[in-house]
Amino acid sequence: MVIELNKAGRRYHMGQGEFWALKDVTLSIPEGQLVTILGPSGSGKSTLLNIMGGIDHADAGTVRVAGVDLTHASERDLTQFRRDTVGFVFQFFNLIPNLTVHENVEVTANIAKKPLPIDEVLQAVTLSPMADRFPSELSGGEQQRVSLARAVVKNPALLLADEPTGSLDFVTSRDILRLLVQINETYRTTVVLVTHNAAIADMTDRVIRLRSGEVEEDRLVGRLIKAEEVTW
Amino acid sequence: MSTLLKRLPRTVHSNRWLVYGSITLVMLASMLYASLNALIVDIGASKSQFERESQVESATFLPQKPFADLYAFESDHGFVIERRREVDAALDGGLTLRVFERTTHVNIPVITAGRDVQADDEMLLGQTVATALKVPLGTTMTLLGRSFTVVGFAAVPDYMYPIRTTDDAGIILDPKAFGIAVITAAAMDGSASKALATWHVRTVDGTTAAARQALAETVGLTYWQDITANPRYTLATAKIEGATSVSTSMPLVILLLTSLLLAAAQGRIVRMQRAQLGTLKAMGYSTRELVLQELALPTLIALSGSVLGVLSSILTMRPMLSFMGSYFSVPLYVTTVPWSAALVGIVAPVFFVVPAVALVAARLLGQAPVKLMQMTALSSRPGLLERSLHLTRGSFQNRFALRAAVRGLTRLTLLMLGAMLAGYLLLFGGAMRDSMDTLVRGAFQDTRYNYTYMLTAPRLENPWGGEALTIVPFTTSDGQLTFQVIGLPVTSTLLVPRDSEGQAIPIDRVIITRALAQKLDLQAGDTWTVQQSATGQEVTLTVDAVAEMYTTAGVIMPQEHLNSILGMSRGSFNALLSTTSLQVPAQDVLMTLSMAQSRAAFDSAIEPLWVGLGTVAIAAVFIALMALSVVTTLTVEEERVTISLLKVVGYHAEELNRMVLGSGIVAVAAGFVLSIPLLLTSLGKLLTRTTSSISFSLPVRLSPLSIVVCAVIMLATYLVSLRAARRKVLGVQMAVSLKAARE
Repeated sequence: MVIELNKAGRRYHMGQGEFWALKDVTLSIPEGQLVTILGPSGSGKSTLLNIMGGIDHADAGTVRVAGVDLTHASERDLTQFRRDTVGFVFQFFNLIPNLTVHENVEVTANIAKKPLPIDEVLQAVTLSPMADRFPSELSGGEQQRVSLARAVVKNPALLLADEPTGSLDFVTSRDILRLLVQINETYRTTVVLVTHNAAIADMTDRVIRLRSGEVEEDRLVGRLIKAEEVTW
Repeated sequence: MSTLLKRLPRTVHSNRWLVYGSITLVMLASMLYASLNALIVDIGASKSQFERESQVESATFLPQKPFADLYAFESDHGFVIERRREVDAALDGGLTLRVFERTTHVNIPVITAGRDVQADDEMLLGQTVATALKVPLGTTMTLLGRSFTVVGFAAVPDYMYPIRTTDDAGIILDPKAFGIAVITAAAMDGSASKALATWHVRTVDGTTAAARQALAETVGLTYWQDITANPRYTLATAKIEGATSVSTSMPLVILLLTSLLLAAAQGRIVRMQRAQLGTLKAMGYSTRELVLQELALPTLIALSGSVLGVLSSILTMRPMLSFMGSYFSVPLYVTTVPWSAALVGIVAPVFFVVPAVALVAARLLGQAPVKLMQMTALSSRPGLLERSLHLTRGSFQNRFALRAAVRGLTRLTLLMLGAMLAGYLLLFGGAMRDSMDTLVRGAFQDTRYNYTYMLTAPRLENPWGGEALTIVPFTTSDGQLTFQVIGLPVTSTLLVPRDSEGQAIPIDRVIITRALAQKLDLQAGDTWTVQQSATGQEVTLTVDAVAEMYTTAGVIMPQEHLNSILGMSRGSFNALLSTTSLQVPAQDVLMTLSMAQSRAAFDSAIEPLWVGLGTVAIAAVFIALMALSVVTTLTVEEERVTISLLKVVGYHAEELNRMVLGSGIVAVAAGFVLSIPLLLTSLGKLLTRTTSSISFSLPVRLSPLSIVVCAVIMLATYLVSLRAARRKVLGVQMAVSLKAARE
């Protein structure tokens, strides 16, 4: 299993009180699976993803990813885990504005153990002609493809994408989804996709639905449709 | 090169105002520090070497009788003694040259340009007067009725601060009116009848007690003055020491304030990049790697600014050093920026800025990546203070400005620091001017006379007119301070001491000047013991009143009282005061002081002061502009989203300027007001230390006019920086808020 969560929870303090954004989440995701986490706003989707990626921590339960116990990992171990194991794709791309497309990808390749060739990855996301451009010179879809390339270039075991199509138009979104499937199939990368768009779920292996921080539904879908067929 | 480092030149380019402003600020501070320190170290080293090479005297004396065997006396005691003749020569244009014969053992003239005198029609001209009057080598001058060719410029150690007389306002240097010259002994023989011969002794270890006793026993003494009591030497020493205090403490304060400002500004830039840092951390970069990356820009700014500053100090220190070298007649043996000053100038900004930014970055990066990415704006979450602020009254714009001020308290503190820095410099100039003004006005207001004649010996008859008085030098019992005791006729109308309320103090009591009161911490009612300088006779005096006189550390008492203390005959006197010139034979006059010359000397002395103060003011305005520019640029950067949003809503640039930057005026005003006590305290300490070993006090004054003028300059500077910031506000795109809303 790549990911194993056992009664994982995450608590936030709000003023005088506190609330659990994630409660008793127990699940396991095997290597190479393409998973969708669905749910409305505030259901805890992003929190779950962040905990899986080691950029946030659980306040209860245990989280083990790729053999690393994230619940008890030191800051140093967490950094090493993120460096070696995980690739992130964010909804708003989070590119470094004063680095070119090539350099944005290079930033991750620099610290990876066995990075893929940058040019090959840029080719895969059809960004080679734009390698010398800055993020501000790109469209939203192009920026998300850079973000994807940046995540993939280090050849991670786990790719976590938080609303990767949330700020893109329909056509561009399908393009990004197709790339995610392609990465999953080409590199056998486990991909966890957070979205509130139920239409995307049918193209993945499995759907985990959250509501108010709890797993409401966890079912296998079996890739009913191709990415190109997703519609909404 | 690390990929992340590639951001550096692009960050510099996109924030060029901020970066170049910061570099300039550091450069100015480092330049000021390195050049002023170099100046002091070099002038100090030059002075020491000068004293060694010229065999500076330990004391000057006048023997009562000739030496029976001078050579034997010198051998027996290990002293070096030499007689030196001097005569004043009046030249065209109001210039007086004190002409010395060339000595060979003590107070040997050191040639600063050209060569030594070889023939009897050759002369050396004092370095200060040659510089002031731009006299070239080879010039022919007529002195004492003979023609001399200037073959060299020289400095004489007991005239390091070349002033005509050592009394009252004579302490003011006027190199255009007074200087020194050196001719051969043979040439001096021709003017021997008019010349005054003084004797100079140099002891092995510089102490004088044994020499004084031996000389008193062997030849008797009518006059004795340690070199440490000679204002022509001590004023140079005191001014160099004073300059040392100013030149090391003030630039260091400026350097530290600049470093603090830069560190705070850079720390905020790091915080502004928290989303980027969060992303990089999420990608696997460690806190250490990211902190090191974040240090690149502040290191670049601090290092390039300080290196440029130290390099430019090499250029700026030379003219400053030449000025000092001409102000004090000291040959410049050393003219380099010392390694220590260069090193501190370069290292200090890096030393203060880099760890401070590292601390900010490390604390920030201690947070989880997700938290860093969530907080894209600094001011996204109102602080406790802002939350407790319940604003219901006033216009929206004012309430907004107040909220912005509370939210940006750290930023306002930065602005206040910048204003303090500039205010300190501006007010420093104003205070120096006011203090000098008070000093000199005080010196002239009590005097109704225009001429002072010091006679060679006490007299009982006064065939020349004027007001006859007794003036005798005394020293404190520890020998640290020499001052004059003036025996004044009770009916004196020419010298009227006044109290702090401007009322004349009757001359029927012991009055001490404010300068002496400050130095010895005396007040009315105190009793203290003093020694007559020439004889060592001890006298105990009780202070009856303090006169507001700052230029002379002295005592005024009834003439007959002083005469009786000294054992002098009733009606005896050794000095004359007069409103008009008196026909006293030259051989009876030890020295003459003209108040007109003193006033002219003051005007001449104050002229370069104005230039200096103007330069300080320009530097202050520039530093203020840079500091304000850095802070306003930061403010605009940090408030970009708000500015953009308000633009979308329909606010004009002027309104936005006022709302976002308007509260800065409070910080600028607060910084300026705080700089006043800071300046008065530091300047007070500085001047007390500077004048502790000389005969006058410099009162610390800062007039309301100076404060107003400095405040107006400060305000104008702030308005200029606001005007510049307006362009930055206008440059914020409306799309910023729309993009930010998605983040």
